[in-house]
Amino acid sequence: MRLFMSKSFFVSCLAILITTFAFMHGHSAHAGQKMTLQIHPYLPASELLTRFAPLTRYLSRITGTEITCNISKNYEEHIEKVGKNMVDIAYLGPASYVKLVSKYGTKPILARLEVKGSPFFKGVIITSKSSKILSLDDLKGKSFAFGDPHSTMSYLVPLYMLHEKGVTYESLERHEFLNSHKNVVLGVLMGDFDAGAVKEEVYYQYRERGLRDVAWTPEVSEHLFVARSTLPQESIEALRKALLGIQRKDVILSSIKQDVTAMVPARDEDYDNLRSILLTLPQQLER
Amino acid sequence: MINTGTFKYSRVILVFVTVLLVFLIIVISAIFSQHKEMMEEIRHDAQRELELIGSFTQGALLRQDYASVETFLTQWAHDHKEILSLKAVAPNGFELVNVTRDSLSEATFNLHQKVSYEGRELIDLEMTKDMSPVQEGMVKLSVPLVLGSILLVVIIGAVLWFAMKKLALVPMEKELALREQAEKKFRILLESAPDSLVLVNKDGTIYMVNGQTEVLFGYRREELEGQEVQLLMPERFRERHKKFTEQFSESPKSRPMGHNLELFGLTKDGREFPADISLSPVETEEGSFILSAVRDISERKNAEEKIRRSFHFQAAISSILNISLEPVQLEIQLQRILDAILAIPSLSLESMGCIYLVEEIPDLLVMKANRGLPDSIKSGCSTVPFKECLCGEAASEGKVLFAECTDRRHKTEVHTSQEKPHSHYCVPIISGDKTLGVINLVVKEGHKKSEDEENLLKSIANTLAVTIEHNRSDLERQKLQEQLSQVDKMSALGRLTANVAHEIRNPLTLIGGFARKLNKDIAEGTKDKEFATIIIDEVSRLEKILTNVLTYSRETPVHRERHNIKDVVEESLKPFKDKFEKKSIVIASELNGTPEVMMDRDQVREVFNNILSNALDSMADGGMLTISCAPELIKSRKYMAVHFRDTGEGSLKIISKLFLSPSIQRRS
Repeated sequence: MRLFMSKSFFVSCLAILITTFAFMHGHSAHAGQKMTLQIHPYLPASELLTRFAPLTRYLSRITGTEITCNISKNYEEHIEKVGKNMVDIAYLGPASYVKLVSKYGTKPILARLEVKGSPFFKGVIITSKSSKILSLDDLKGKSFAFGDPHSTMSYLVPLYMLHEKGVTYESLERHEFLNSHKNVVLGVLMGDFDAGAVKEEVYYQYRERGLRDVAWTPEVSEHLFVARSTLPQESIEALRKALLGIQRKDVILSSIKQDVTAMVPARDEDYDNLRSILLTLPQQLER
Repeated sequence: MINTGTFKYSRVILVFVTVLLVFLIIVISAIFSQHKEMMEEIRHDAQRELELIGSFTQGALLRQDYASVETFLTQWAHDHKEILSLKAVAPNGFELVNVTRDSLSEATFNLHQKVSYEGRELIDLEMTKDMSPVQEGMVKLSVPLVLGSILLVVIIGAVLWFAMKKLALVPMEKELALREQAEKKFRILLESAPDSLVLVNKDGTIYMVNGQTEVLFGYRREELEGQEVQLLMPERFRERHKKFTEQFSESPKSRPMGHNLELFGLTKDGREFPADISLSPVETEEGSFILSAVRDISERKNAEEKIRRSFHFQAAISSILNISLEPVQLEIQLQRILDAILAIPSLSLESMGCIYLVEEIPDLLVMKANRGLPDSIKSGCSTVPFKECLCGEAASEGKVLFAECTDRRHKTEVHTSQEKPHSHYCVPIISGDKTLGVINLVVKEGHKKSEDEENLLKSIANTLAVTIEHNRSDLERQKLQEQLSQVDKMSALGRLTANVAHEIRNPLTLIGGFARKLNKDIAEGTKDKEFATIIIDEVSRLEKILTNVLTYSRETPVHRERHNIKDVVEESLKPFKDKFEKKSIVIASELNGTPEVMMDRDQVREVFNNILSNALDSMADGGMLTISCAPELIKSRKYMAVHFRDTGEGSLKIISKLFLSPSIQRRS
């Protein structure tokens, strides 16, 4: 009897413990929900992680959600992951956004960067100071360095400009994709390429070391943050509010890029001019 | 036992401290050497680092990932504070990376790496590294290490010192004190030894000597210690002695040195001396030694030599005496005596020599015996006058003469050039004040004369003198005996003659008387007259002869009285005065002041009568007779000599000497 009693007591205690554990676990999963912040690989991964670490910590703190920062292997993977809602938050270049929308439809835009007080940026076709290239026409028969094939200012828009001027791949001596803006400027500076295309920020960064501009691109809306379209609206709003709520010239911003001054609201229409440029390069949108 | 000395802590401490200092220096050197190696290693690592950077850079540049290169190199330079400068310069001169850090450090080194691929130059890497932090670190590390080493050395030194002092030095000090005492005893023993003691190691090197050695050999001990022992012996023994030393070292035992050998020592001034040497092996902690006791036996040797020579000399004199007693002729005796002299072994003679004697001719040496002389000398030196050559010099001086053949007094004209160099002993043979002869002995070259040799030769010469005198007195005696015998014969003959004369005298007187009577009766101019005159003259001549015979044979006693010589001479001259005047002979007497002497006046007058008669006969055509008188020494006795000099035939001089002694001897 006593043994029976003790057995039933033990079973009862075990049941209570299991129930308690299950409840606690369910509460923890909800309260500590994890999110991902996916960054496109426009810089070496380590540098990107460093740059976005303050923002990641900030969003985690504000949203109360543990946010992990990840770097995509390449632009295709990035667009795919964002398009297929595989990541919660994503940082995109304007061309990638246009491609994303073109391929997977719109995504909730959270905010875009404001650099030096402007939410737009532009690119520049560069050559070395000692180069004899003075206009886009002079590029024919020369070597040309592009950045990433998905990069807005190191490839897509400059390519559009070259096409406008009739400078095709064939008319170039050769062209190479160097995957990053810095590689482009450095490739030109080191003399491996006669010219290249980079965004203005990188150009200014290296101009004094021996660069000269040949032509400027039209302004394009800045990089932006989008959210997973399947993310609850309140979470999207919370994130948007958090991003837009970042103080101007906060270290979170300058960490991402030196000249970023604020996060500002953005709409899909802000990227229409780019979209129209890319439409002239249909093969690019299909990629 | 040997060479202990006083134990001195200061030396031990000095050595100890020196060892510790050396140890410390080695430790510090090791530390600094380690530092140097570390610097090299750092440099090497930096080179490897640059190579790795280059390798990475090459890969990135080949991928045209310039940004990675820039980022990586910039980051690398920033992260590594010791990199003062890192440059990546493209072939076109573009500085992909140029990170420079301000530094005042002078401890830098530059590295350079060219990055290329298949001959294409990609980039040039230059890196300057600052070594000062490393150096500072090393210095910071070294200071405690060095200080620690010093401290360690001091602690180890102190511990070792106290341990060594307790375990080793104190017992050693006691041991050394004991050894010092033993050493002192040994020294005292060594120094008190009457002999020269020389301690030699197995190699023949002199280790220690005593004071007697300094006295005996004339060296100071500092000059000897450390030298080879052969220094103390004549050159001719040295090589052989080295072998003996080795043999002795192989089987050491106490024994006299040089059995059956004459040993000699050599002093510092080059003098050799005969020595007795005994050897004793001495075993010490410092190894095996040989203790040689050296004794100068010069005096003993000299004494032995003297005895030996004395024996030889005695034997020689004995032999000479035996020869002198032999009844043989003097020449034979002299030859045998010469041989006996030449056979004396101690005189270093060349078996050559001769004996000279003075014979009838005074002051002339005549060679009477010789041995080994060349014919040229035998003939050339057969006679030597006194004062000539060495022998003449010795004879006239009456002294033993020793001279080399090159002596200026030596007459060399009879000597040949083949003769070996030699010396001469010329020993006069003297009897009383008379030199009887000279012994000439040829001595080997280099022989030194000695007093005992001279004494021996004098003894031999004296013996020889006795022998000669003995021999000569024998001859004299024989002559006297012969003369005595002749005198006896003459005496008998005289007596017979006197008797005969006496017997003849009477009839002869009768014949003479009758002849003179008959002569008166015989007419002049007849043959009978002539015969009678002849008979008378012949009888007169026979009577005169008989008178002389009777006078000569008459034995009359001697009556000695003191008479003046002048008176006797004048008495004798009186009967001859007329005869001298007739023959115009002038008498010159130089007898004024003559003394009185003892004489038999009648006999002296008879002698004078005969002399005057002879003078008269010899000066038939006239002349001068000078008579003088003068004192004269003969054999230390004073005589008065009366001299008669005439100018007759052959300038005959008749001399008569009258003696002061009781006997009167006639000399002519």
